[in-house]
Amino acid sequence: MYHQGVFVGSAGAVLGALPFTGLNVTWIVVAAFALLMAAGALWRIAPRSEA
Amino acid sequence: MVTEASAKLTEVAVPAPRPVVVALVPAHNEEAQIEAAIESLRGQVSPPDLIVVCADNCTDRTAELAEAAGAIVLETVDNPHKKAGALNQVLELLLPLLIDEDSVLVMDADSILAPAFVSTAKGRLRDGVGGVGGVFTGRAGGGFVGMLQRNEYARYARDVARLKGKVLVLTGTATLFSAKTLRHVAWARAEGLLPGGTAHVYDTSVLTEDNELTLALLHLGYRVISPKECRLTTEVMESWRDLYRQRLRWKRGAIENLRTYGLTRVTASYWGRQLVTFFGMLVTALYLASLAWSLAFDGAISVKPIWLAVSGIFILERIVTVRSRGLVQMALAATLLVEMTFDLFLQAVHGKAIVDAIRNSERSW
Repeated sequence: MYHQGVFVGSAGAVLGALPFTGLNVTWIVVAAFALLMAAGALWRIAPRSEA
Repeated sequence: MVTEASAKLTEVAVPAPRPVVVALVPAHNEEAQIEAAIESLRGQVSPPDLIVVCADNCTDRTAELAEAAGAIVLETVDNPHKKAGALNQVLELLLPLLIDEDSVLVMDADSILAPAFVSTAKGRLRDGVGGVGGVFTGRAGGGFVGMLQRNEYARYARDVARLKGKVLVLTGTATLFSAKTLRHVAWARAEGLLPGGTAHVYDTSVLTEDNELTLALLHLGYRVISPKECRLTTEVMESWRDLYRQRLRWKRGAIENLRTYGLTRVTASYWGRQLVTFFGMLVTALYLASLAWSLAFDGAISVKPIWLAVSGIFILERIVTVRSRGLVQMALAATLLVEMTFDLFLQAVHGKAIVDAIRNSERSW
């Protein structure tokens, strides 16, 4: 119905670990997306006027 | 409804001085909430000049209670199209009585508006703004699942405030439109410039009529906003089952609306968000699978400092963005795992919505 946060999927980058399993391509895809989402998280944390 | 309702509206809908604000509240069996909704309208700093409750196939005391609370009650006739059909029936009678400068507040029967809602919305309904929506928070109730929704709504309100009222959707919870704009939409549908095919404001073939109307306004060149002063509260779903149904309808409706409009200058960013969400679902699945793989074949998960740092960012984001909900919720958000349940649930619903939309399976809502 409303704003769909781009953080759907962020859950996939938590728990303090991204396992290296030998699935290199998979690992890179997950890692890249996690970093992208982390950038979004930083943007949301940053102080900003709400006026 | 036509004759009696038309007479009712004609008698009272054109008070002087103009312009007027007419509140339009579609209601289907809302006896538990309708009085509070009307009371919040009467308690406005700038109250609507007319409150119309559109009782749609009600089998409870909604109409009786609304009338007692001072609203004009119009009952729908032969309406199989739920809320959108009910609104169309009333608007068909109402719009010819209004001048361009008049405005219509469409509001859910379970919404309770903050006192400054109407006055603020009236002031912002100009300069190419097609509709002024609200920023909602969730009311009490629903236990754990209710709490998760209240956190979600609090984050949404924070996002909207930080974006200076810029929103993707004018929600059905409460939105003020000018009569001129609504007439423009109906005309554009009749002319084939917008989907819908008939000269009505709402497209009755969709699951999410508010989202569709937002896309319609944007395609006609209007802007849409939700100022942070336009606050309201709305009910939360009280069980996972109800939440599943609600979100499946919202998410499938949004996907189908985009499919109807195709890829346009307006919808490009909406499609982009859909893609990011879809990709997020895939990544989550990959991540969980890789965790299982690690545990199964290596017997352990190696922890890397960089990912601990990334996790720290996510934890901080969860805490900061729910600050308006107080210390307890901030502490809960810090655990991540609690709210992750909700994220995974929403992802699963989104996946189902995509499948249902692609398969065009039967709708039930």
